[in-house]
Amino acid sequence: MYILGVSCFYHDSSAVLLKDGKIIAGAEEERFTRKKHDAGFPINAIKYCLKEAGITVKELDYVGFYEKPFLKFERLLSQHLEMFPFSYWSFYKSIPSWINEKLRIPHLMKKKLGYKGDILFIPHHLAHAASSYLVSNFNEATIMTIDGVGEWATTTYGYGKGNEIKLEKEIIFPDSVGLLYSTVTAWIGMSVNNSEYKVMGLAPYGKPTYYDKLKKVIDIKEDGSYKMDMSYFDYHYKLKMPSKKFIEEFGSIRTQKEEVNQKHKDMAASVQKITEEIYFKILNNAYKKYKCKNLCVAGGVGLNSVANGKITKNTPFKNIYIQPASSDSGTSIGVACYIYNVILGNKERFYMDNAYLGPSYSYEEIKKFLDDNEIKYKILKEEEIAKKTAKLIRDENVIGWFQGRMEWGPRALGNRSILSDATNPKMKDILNLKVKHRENFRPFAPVISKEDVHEWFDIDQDEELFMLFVYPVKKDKRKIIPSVTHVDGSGRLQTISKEQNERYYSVIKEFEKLSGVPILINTSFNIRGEPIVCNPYNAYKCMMGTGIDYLVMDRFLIKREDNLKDAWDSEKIAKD
Amino acid sequence: MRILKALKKLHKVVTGTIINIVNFILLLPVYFIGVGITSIIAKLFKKGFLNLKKENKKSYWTNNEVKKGEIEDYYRQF
Amino acid sequence: MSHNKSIILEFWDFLKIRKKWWLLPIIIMLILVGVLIVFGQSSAISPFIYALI
Repeated sequence: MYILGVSCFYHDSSAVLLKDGKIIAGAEEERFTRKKHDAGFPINAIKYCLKEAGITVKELDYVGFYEKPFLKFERLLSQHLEMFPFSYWSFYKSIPSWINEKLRIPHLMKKKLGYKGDILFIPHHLAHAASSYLVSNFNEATIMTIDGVGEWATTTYGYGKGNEIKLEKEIIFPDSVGLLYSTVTAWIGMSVNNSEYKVMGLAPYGKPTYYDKLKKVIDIKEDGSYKMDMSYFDYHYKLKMPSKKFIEEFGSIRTQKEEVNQKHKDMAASVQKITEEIYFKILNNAYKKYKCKNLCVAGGVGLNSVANGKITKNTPFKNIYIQPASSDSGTSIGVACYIYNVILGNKERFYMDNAYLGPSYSYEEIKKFLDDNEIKYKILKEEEIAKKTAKLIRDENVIGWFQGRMEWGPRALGNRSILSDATNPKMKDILNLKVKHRENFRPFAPVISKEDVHEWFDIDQDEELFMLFVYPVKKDKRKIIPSVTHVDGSGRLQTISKEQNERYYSVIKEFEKLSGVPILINTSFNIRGEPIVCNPYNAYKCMMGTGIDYLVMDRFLIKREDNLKDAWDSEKIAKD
Repeated sequence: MRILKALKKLHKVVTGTIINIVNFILLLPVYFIGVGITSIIAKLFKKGFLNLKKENKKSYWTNNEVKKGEIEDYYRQF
Repeated sequence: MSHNKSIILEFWDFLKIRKKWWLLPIIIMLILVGVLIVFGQSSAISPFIYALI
């Protein structure tokens, strides 16, 4: 039985295919179109999924969509009815796409995909809940979903037991902690729905001096529920987030010419504190009700890895599973699994313990690409790959690492990664200068062999699969791995074992032999402002457009300096 | 080739602008009559569509009304 | 037999079951001008602030 889950038209379109309940392929559309957060119909992602399964559209048994469009339309019209006559501009901007696309999903599936069957529509927050709970290894769990907004709900909690999911309580639009975070992101002059994680990274540089002022804007109850004073916000009827009142209270919005200063850092720290307060109050309240130590989280705010890393210290939850693509792209998994397990009642659930769901390229395919483009390369023996890569890393080189199946979700997890030396104190600057050109407050993240994690981090889990949790680096280790230790002594780590990803794991162990440290910098393999690379062409282009020194693609080692005929400057076209 | 590309781009810009202008004009009556009249009448009857009022309740949680239904319920877009 | 209904029938069911009759004037206006509206695509025009779209 083949079930396709689809999410699209807002941000991060994606598609996932289940075969007899098991995820066999999944990808975000942006990786194919090279348009970050691509919201268009995910035709490329769907085609990839079908190709991976070796089927056509005709073999699909069910196709699901990640929301109830009419409910969302109802919410949208409610906004205009409430805010008439001030919302015409956003009305005019949004209505045509509703008429053309968003209210015509069955027609679109037929037109774009040739799919003549019926579409199942799963409520948005239920799709989020399913994307985490149904692929976890819990037989029962408390569930929390928390995002900007779905149809009406912005925050929910409930429980999952066996194959049942019940979301019992919700908070509805316009009250939304996700949109509060986005408003502050916009106020700090960063792009909404794209840079919230940067605000999270900025927070440790500030003090929560705006916390009390922010409490005027949002009233938080002991049970975690909250209500916002909408006079501080414009997002419910205008194409901007903070209102004039917000600006009067907190100061003007940062322009691109202005440097990020202490005021912005303090505001980041303050909104992070508010978010964590809500997070932990909701969770504590849910625990009182369900008394289950297992927790599943999903929704865009579930990507707040700083808050996630503090859950076990601030709540009774002990076992936590978070969908790696916690924002809207992950809902396509939720949709497909919800159809299989809940609607169709299939008991067997499959545990998602890795995020390698995307396309891979064979030795022959990569060789053909290199030869067709007259790219100079060396072929390594299997046993040389890890040793050679580790040596190059130790010699201060920046490595583009392209192996196996592309990751699902926003994080590079060892198949489309840039790897470099975490022990080198200059490496953050080298990476920024050569490749990433990031704001200097943003940390780089570590990958560590699973068996060593307790030696280096204060972590109460045994592994961290998807880089969704920030934990403190042990105090005596911070000076040893300065390039992955954030200003507050933390790191957003990934653990890896030999069984999970042998080549990746081997590089780390070979590096450990050279340096004594089983940790590397793992950052996403992409040009600034572009999605993570998908295919060999993207990878090669990224290396040649940046300062990446070597590209290791399967067994092929490509040196940038040997191929300068293809060099170009990616910074000329990069946009964040 | 470059001229063709430039012409294509110009065509896109021109048609895009025309689309935007046409939509802007056509949606005016929808907004001011469809949305406007309903909104004005609703305001006269003190009906709100979003919960914007300041409240001070013990809890702001509301019950999630979504129930697990039969498969037919999921074919609906609401 | 298709389980998904046409947009008009679905809207009618939606209004009946959800009892959101105040949406009717907007929907009627949209239908009246809808055939004339030159449709836009979400990826082309949608702003990044998605709560409104």
